Amino acid sequence: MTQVSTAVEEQGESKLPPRDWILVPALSLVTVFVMVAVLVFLSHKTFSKTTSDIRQCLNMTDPTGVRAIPNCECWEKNPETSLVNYKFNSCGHRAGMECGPKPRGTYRIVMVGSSYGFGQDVPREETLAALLPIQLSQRTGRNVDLYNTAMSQGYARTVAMHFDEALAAQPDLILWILTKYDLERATVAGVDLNFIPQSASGSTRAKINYRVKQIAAMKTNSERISFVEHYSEDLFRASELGTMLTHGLYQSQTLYMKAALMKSGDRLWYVGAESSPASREYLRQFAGYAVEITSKAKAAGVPLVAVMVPDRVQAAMLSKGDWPSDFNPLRLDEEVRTIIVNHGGMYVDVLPDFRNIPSSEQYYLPVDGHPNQRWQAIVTGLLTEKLTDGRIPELEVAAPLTAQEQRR
Amino acid sequence: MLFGLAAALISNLSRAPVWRSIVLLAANIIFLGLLAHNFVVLLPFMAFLLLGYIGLALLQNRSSKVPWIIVAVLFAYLWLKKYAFLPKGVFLQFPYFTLGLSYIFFRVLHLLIEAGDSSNRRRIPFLSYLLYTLNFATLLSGPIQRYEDFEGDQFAQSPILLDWSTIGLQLERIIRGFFKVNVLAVLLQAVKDDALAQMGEPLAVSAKFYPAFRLAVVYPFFLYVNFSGYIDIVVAIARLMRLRLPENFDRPFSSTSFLEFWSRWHITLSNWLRTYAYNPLLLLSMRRISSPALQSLLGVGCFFVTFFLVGLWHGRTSEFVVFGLLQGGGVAINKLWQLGSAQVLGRKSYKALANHSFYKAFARGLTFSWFAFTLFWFWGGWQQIDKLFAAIGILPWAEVWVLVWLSATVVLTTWERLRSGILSIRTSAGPVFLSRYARVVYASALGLGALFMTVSLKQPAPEIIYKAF
Repeated sequence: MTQVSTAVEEQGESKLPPRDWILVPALSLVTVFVMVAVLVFLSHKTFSKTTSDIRQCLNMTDPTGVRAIPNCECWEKNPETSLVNYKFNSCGHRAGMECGPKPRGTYRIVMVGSSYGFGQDVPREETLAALLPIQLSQRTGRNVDLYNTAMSQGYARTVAMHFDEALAAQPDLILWILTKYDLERATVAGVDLNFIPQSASGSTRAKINYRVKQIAAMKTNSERISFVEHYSEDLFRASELGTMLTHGLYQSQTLYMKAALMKSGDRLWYVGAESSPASREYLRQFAGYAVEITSKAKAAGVPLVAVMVPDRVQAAMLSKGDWPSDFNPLRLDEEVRTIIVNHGGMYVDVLPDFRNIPSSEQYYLPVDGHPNQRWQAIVTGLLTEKLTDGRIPELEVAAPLTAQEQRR
Repeated sequence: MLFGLAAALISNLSRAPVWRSIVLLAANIIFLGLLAHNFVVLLPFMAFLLLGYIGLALLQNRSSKVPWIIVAVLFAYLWLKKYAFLPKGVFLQFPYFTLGLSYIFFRVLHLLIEAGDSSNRRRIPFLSYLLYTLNFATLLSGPIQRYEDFEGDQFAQSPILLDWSTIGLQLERIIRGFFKVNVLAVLLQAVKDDALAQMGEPLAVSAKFYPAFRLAVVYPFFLYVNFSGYIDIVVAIARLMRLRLPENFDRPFSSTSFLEFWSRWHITLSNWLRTYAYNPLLLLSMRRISSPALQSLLGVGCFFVTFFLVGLWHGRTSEFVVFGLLQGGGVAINKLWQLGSAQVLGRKSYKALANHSFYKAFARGLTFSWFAFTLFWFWGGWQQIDKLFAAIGILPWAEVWVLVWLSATVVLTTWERLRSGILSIRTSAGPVFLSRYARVVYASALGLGALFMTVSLKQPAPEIIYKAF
């Protein structure tokens, strides 16, 4: 092309005819318009989202943290997923069963936590909560069931406040699925600043008003500028076209990691090699709720097992096997383990196992960040291995039922 | 890019050579200042330029010490670039600016050799020397322009034409270059890095076959879009300043031999070495060895040395020695094949064979594959190369390379056919797809693509690889 274009230039093109002063810009505009129209059409076909979503079933303003409306059923299609059903029982849990006493002879695990445990963006039958009891039952030869009380945005404070509901399900074991979000939003219960409530998600005007109020509530100008910058980025990514483009680009581990590592300020606090002040503060706040939760479990005589699962950045770093010297995706795992174990809980390490999972970042939705079905199956496998390795005597491989358990 | 466009705009405020020279000098100084930030780090760089000019002045005053001056400049270059074969203790121990030094070295050497030629005794003023050696458009990665060409355009009383049509063509070329560097290079580098990461993951050998294939195939394309995209931008900016720079690429992957490849890839470098290394070397050896039977083999030897130097120029470590050996070996074997085939088959039959479409297709595939293979020593260190070859073993790698050859044969031939088909659609004004309107359409499309990519990714494009040399 280079040589040809030079040849054309050397031959000397005819002088620009007057009509070209209109035609050339018009042609350029038409090209841009057609391309945008095609891309918007394609993105709408492949990355659309439903107007209804999970928030129809959630009470976001409950002072004790997000709760689902009992017996509510709703559907949501995230741009990166197919249509997912969310069905809640009469206690407001996505448990796949009614709340109430466990069946006789069953070993019951009650799961607590936030969206990863809840199975956001994944059909219930493919979530960790659905798969784990099946695998544990097969592995141990006993009837294991899992009652899931994890909730979208059910961070540490919410878990603490809803813990009596978990105990009411008569658990033999409480499984707490933790992510970095459970630490950085440990104190959040109810409305998240970054979460637009249902009332503000209808019209564009309502959305704008909501955001303007948010900006007005901020204390400093730098806070406002940073918010607007991130918000406009998020707005583009949230559009179907933005989602389609970013989804495509973030399939690449390299591009995703570069984008992730470019995040400014303390947004990468959880993978820093050293504990930053923000990191220490998050851990301090989390530790407060962890003490409350482990104490309640201890008082009820129920063992509590906590497990930290990686987000997409941690997973990508671990799979790659190397990371820049100022990062360490395993640091937070160690720190959380210390907090949990020091307060009498048990801790299961699955993060180091992600080193053996090739390209594990592909098991997350590239833009949304939540794990997909495949991830749920992988973590189920890892947890099955760890929970049946003897640390929980009742779940030891093929352990015979005790007389007491048989009676129960 | 914006800096270049601004300089072009100011430069065109007057057509007077003095004005254009003042603008170019100011642009060069500002450009250097923007890159270096600090005057002290520029001192060795400036000393090198001064050494070059002193040598030039001596030669212009009919000094007979041409070889010594050239050796001094060569040594100063190797010393400043910290070539690994020099003892570490002799190097300067503070950080200093070396960006573009290789390209300046080529220009300075060109001036010195030409000045040493007794038939060429013109004087080059210091300002002209600075404008030529520091031309910001060619400073970082070339192309390597000859002084006569630069002088012809820069100091002409009536500079070359710059009409709206030419401006449009240059803007289209800048967009094309920007798209190559900021979109294609980003994507291709990501493919390469992903493949590299997968090769290190705990996967079965069979699962590493595809990443190994991607790794082998993608880097030549990455290097091409990265370097040729940059060249597109600088050639267009220079043209907007009424300077014509030589082309550096001519569809290299359409080459049907490794010798042809090097006449289409980094053209100004191979031309420079052909003029100042291959030709003198061949003349010298022909003078020494008069046997007609050996004369054709002398060419092979000179090709080997010249392209070994091409490889060696790219870096200072032992990996680049191997890269040079593979480049030199590639062209030498290619030349031997041509000579041997012509001898065995007869010139006519060999020519007919070489023009056969099947032969050309496979030769094109082989040329690409060899270049892709040699590039492992261009981008990888020994440790990385060892790991990569150990990751799947010798036999699977051999299978990968056979697959690369076959795929390149099919894909590149299909592309050649498609391209000639597209260009055969013509009106009386020329090929439809090279018309002004077609260019507007694809420049707009590429521009929009680059915009979306930039907004979606918010990542800087990879560095121009040849900037490092």
